[in-house]
Amino acid sequence: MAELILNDPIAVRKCILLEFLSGQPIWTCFSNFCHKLGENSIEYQEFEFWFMRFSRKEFELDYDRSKDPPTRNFSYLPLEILQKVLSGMNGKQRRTSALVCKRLHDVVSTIIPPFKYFRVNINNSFTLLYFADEYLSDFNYYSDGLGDEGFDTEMIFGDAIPQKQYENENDHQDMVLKDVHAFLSQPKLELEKLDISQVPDKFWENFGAMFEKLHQKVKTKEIIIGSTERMEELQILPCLDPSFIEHIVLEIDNGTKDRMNKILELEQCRNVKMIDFCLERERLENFQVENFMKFRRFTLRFPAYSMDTEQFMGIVKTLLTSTFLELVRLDCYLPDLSDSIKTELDKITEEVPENPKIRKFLIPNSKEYFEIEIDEHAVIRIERKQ
Amino acid sequence: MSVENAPVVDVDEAAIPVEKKMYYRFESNDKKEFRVSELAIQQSETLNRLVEAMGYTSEDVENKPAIAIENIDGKTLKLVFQWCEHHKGEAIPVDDGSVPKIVEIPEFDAKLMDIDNGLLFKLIWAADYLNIVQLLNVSCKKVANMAQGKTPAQLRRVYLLPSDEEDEAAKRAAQEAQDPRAREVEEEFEERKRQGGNSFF
Repeated sequence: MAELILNDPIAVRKCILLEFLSGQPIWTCFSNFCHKLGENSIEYQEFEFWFMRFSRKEFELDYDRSKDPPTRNFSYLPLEILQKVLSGMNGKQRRTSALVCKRLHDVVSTIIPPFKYFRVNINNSFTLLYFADEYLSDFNYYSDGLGDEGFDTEMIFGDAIPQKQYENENDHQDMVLKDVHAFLSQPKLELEKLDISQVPDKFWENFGAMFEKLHQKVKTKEIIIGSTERMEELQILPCLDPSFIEHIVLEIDNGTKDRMNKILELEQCRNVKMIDFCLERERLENFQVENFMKFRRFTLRFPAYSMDTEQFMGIVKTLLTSTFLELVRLDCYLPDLSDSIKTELDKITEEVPENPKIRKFLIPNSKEYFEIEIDEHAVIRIERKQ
Repeated sequence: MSVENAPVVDVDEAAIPVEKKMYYRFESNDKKEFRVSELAIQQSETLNRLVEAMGYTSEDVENKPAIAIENIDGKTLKLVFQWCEHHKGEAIPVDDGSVPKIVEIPEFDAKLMDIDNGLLFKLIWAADYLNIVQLLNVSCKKVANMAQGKTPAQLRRVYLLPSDEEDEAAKRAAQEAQDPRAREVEEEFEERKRQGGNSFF
């Protein structure tokens, strides 16, 4: 029966017309047609030609196509246009298109990937990789099936479906490594934020080594490294494009002199707009502000709950002697000491008549001064001014 | 305004006189002639520069031959000019390539592009050739939208792209001669295919 229909062009067009009249989208109609008359019963282009005629209310079934100008296929489009087409797709569609043929794969590799955000959260038995584009936020989930360390997948996933979900993988971290490497190796990748929030101790060596094997420096405007005493930042930061990075956030537990000097030597830290040091686990007795004196623009954030006004002012006064300092934010969250710190600051600074919130610290033997601002939580901004 | 009512007319079919303001005559490579308003022409950077350089008066338009557009056929050119007439006077988007734009296809454009892919690809080519930025944006977006929910094999059918096997033999020799990394790239691609397309890239 199918043969009879397929050998009769008018009958074929009638079948297409019937599919068109169903009101379904063209691909659904095409699939239905092929399902009924055979997978390769008709070329998509032939089906589409008649379907589109019908949609323009042109129902002439014996229309002679032979006089039409020749049509073109996708390969006829130049590279710049293919790039434009693929740039209009989301990440998933681009990945699919890259597998259509080598040419599209090559085109995909020449355009800026749609991802602006990448977060790596590796745990001992499971991993989440978050990656977001301008259309939607996606994530991959990997697990070795040995329990999720109290992690409730239903709670985290909600209605979202992971782009990739691997369960019961003995070496789930190996798969993670491959994917992180593949993600960061995308040519033209330009991230707004790369967040390496967690990598377990036992896995760090492989992770750091993977970073060092990347063929290109990663372009990201902001990097967050949730590091500890392993000094991960010294391995990761050199793998970033120094001309692209603007903001570095380091969660470290010990700001030793040696470590700070090593960070300071990195090209990536030299011209960066801001480095945030989040010393979450730093003990007050170990903290030495002198270790940070050569940084130009930075934030010091650590919970110094036991600190008194004198100790805090000691840090401020030391910072005010720095010849490198351009901007520092000192965030120790000391709301109870806010008033007494203000009083102490008043003693060493001058008022600015037009702005009572700001004080001025004149730098000896210089035309420059430090502008100092303090808020109700005793968060202080010190900025060098002319 | 519907597609049918857009004021582009083939001269052969024109029964209604076109507005009295300045217009130009163009001829496709299959000798179809079109009258297009000056304002609509401004959507095309290429044609706008061309008519400016020619400095035609209203009389020149009537007395001199229509401006020939050698590499676009009448069917495609009609769509192009319908689009330009509908969008005449609209600001032309600036594309500096730095930020990917989210393109939305207006209803008129969607209906205009209710055409088979063969013609759509010619429309895209024409929009690029005539430098009509927004027409290029919407037509490329239409092609991009076709990828929604399709597998690589299905996309191959929609875009009428040859399989790698068919394409490989011809390309390999040329690529290897030109690009020493060709083999490496190819192996990388094969590896990704082997992985079932699950890797990022």
